[in-house]
Amino acid sequence: MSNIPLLRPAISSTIAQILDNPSRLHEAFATYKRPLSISMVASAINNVAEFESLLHELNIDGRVYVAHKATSDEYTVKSLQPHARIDVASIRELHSAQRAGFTADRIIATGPKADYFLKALLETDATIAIDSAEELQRIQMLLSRESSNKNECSILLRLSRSILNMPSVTRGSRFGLDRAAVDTVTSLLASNDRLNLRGVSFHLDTQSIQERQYASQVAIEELLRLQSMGFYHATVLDIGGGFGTDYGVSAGDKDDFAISLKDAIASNTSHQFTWQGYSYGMSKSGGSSTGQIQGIELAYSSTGVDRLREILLSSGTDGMTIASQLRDNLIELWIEPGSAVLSGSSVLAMQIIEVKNSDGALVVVVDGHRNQVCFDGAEAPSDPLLISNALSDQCSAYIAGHLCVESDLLTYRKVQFDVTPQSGDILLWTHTGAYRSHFSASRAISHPLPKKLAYVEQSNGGYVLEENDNDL
Amino acid sequence: MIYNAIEQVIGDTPLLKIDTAHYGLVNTDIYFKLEYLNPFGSIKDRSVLGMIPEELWRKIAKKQQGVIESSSGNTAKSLQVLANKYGVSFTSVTNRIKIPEVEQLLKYLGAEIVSLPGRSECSDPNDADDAIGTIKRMMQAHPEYFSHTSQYTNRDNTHAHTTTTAQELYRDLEGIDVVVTGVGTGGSSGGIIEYAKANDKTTKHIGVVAEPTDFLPGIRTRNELFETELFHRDDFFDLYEVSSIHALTALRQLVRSDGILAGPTTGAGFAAALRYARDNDVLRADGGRQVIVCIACDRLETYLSYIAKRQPEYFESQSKTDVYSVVITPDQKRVLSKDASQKTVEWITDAQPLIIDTRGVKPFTAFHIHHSVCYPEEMLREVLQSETPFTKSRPLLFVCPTGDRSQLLAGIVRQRGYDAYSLDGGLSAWRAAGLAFERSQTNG
Repeated sequence: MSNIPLLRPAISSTIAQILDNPSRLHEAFATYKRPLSISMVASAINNVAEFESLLHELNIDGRVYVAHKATSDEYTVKSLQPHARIDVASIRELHSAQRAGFTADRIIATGPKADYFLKALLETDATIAIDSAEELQRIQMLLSRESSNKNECSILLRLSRSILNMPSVTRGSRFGLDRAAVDTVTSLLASNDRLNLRGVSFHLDTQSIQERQYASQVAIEELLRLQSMGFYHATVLDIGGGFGTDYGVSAGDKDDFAISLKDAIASNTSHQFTWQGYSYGMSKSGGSSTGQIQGIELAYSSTGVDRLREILLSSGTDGMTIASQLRDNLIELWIEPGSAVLSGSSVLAMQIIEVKNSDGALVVVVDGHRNQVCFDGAEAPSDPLLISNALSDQCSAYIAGHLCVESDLLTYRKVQFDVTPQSGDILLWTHTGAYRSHFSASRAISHPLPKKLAYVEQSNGGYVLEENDNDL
Repeated sequence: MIYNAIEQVIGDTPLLKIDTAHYGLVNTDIYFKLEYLNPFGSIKDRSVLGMIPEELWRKIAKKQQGVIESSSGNTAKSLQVLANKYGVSFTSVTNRIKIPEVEQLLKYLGAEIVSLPGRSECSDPNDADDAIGTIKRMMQAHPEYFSHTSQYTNRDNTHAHTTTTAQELYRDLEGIDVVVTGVGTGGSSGGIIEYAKANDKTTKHIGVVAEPTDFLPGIRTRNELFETELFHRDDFFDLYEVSSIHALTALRQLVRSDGILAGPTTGAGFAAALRYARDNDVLRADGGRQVIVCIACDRLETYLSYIAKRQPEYFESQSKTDVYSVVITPDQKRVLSKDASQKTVEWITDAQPLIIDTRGVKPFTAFHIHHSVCYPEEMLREVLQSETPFTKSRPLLFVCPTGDRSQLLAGIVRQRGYDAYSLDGGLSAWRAAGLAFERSQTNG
């Protein structure tokens, strides 16, 4: 079947530079003998600037905390330090942020926190977004035990979905404080002047802009309620992240992929372009396909700054936009973008071990594995780029990894190549800077983690890959 | 004519021929089937009547069942009105209603709305199903209770259009060369096509879909067509993709030139019809003029916020810029500036200015500078077009969140001879300087 849908990512000038001059990659493979994770931090810095310029344009007092959890690359974190604040979710991320030079007033801690992490946070002046009433009780305990002279702690209350949901949405979440927890916490806070309530936060795991708009409105009202209870320093609304990223794949191509898949499932021909007919969660019902596509990241309707703009310019109560409510109530807006800032800030290169025929299908076997390019089980909706000297015909192939499990396929869909790849060629995966090659990469079968290198442009127009071995 | 039941008003809608010369067409006529004149406002009134005729409503009511459907718009509206009439409860399961007015209307009519949350960013095995999956689960949880109209698979939906919509069209027009329909459930387009096939008509059918990632209420993108079993690609001469902005541009022409107050989908259909007609504006082989039929599916009014988002230029008040277009010189700025300091607090005590807080009522109620009054900026801006509703016997101090709007307002008023000032840096600076606010208090 020649009709394989293309999901070609956008190619930045930096990536074009690598594609045109791959000798540095070959040298690095010879030296390190493993996949290469190459940071290109300029795009991350630029993304932070875009968020800030939107806040400036809308006259909103705001702060950008980049989610450290999206990257395990200290070089990237260091490079971002002069430009952004940081959101840490573990003690190692806290230490990494401190090494990078982030002062405590530029750090917020989120997520579940063990006592040793809380203790380390209390020794700084970092803001802590608490996730439960129990966490606040542990903080109180630690504060009363500590002999240190740090006796104040700034906190945000992370609100749970049950408070923030649109009335007709019933989905729950294991994160955040429900109404009862908020009540418990506010009475604890009222009687403890070492705890400084700075505001409320939330993070919704949803691609829906409307749910975020609604949650922002509810959270603003909650903040005003806290102020009216006497918490006058509660002036921060932290709406978390979830602004999403764009791989630069055109909307038409994404649509073609979805159409081809649904068409193939409806006509029982999916085995022609997905591995053993893998259905990506869809099923056939009557003459059509039903269900939702799973196992591949889905297209966002808008991403990054555009998405934040949509949220801020949506109307809430009384027709006032979220932005004007923030301004009028002197509320500071904090955001915690992860992939929206970091996705394009690295690429992952893998060497091809061999290209083989397997039961009639072409399979490209790479010296790397699925979890180095897929986040939490989901493939990226973009094709890897082939770097090859071959002059052969075009082909389509599946891409398999070097692990011993059947599931180690980097794509369950066929990828179309302009030439037939061969042993020693390179596959370059773009947009791996957030989560994809950082979150679940493993050392299975004693394969080392990808080698971290930094892309450094040379004044003569070329580039070098600098050693950057600083895995957290 | 006298009717005895609202259902009797459904159907038999007028067919309006518009003046196509106005659109540069020489050999083509375009007719609009005015489906928005149906009593509940859309072509879906026919589908609903077809799927649940009176006797079925009575049966459902008798068994004390509820009706359930996946709809976030016109079908839900029609179903809800008739459900009310027969004392049946109706539940609409939707992927979130994207048009606020539609949601308001459904709530007003009394619909129970179940919205699916957005897809998770990370893979979550507990992730929400699609609407149909959710309906299936709700039906399993309440066996025997729900009656699912299932507009995407229900042949009665198609049939309603074969027997009424299509039959009316071919009754009124001898030859139809092209019918342009938006593809939503595929019910109306399918019904018209079935009639044409059964009666050996040579009509070409053009389906209209939204551009990928764009949104047109009530119709689908190419990729979403797979979700509707009533859609059959092979029946269509062509599928045209229309962007929301093209649809709205065409719609505005229709509204202003032809008096057709229909919704965005009608605009999309018209845009597609014009695209076809401009490429094929020739006489028929028999020398007659070509006939294109479009469906004006629903009403304009519920889509104003949808339109305002995409064409804000039509919603701005004409005079707004006048009053704000003044130039305030640096010298004037210096004169009217009051900084957030103890000195200004003392000035307030001495000079007793009228302090005008330009924020909205709610934030003002939450906190404000002692003795200030609330005069929201939009109202002030409006009023300042014609009057200056202040006294000259006291100084005026304008305050806003950051000091930019208050500076402008104080500048305008000062140019009219008032002793006006602006709080520099606004309430933010006031707060940062540690100066006091008067606050509303509650006990939580």
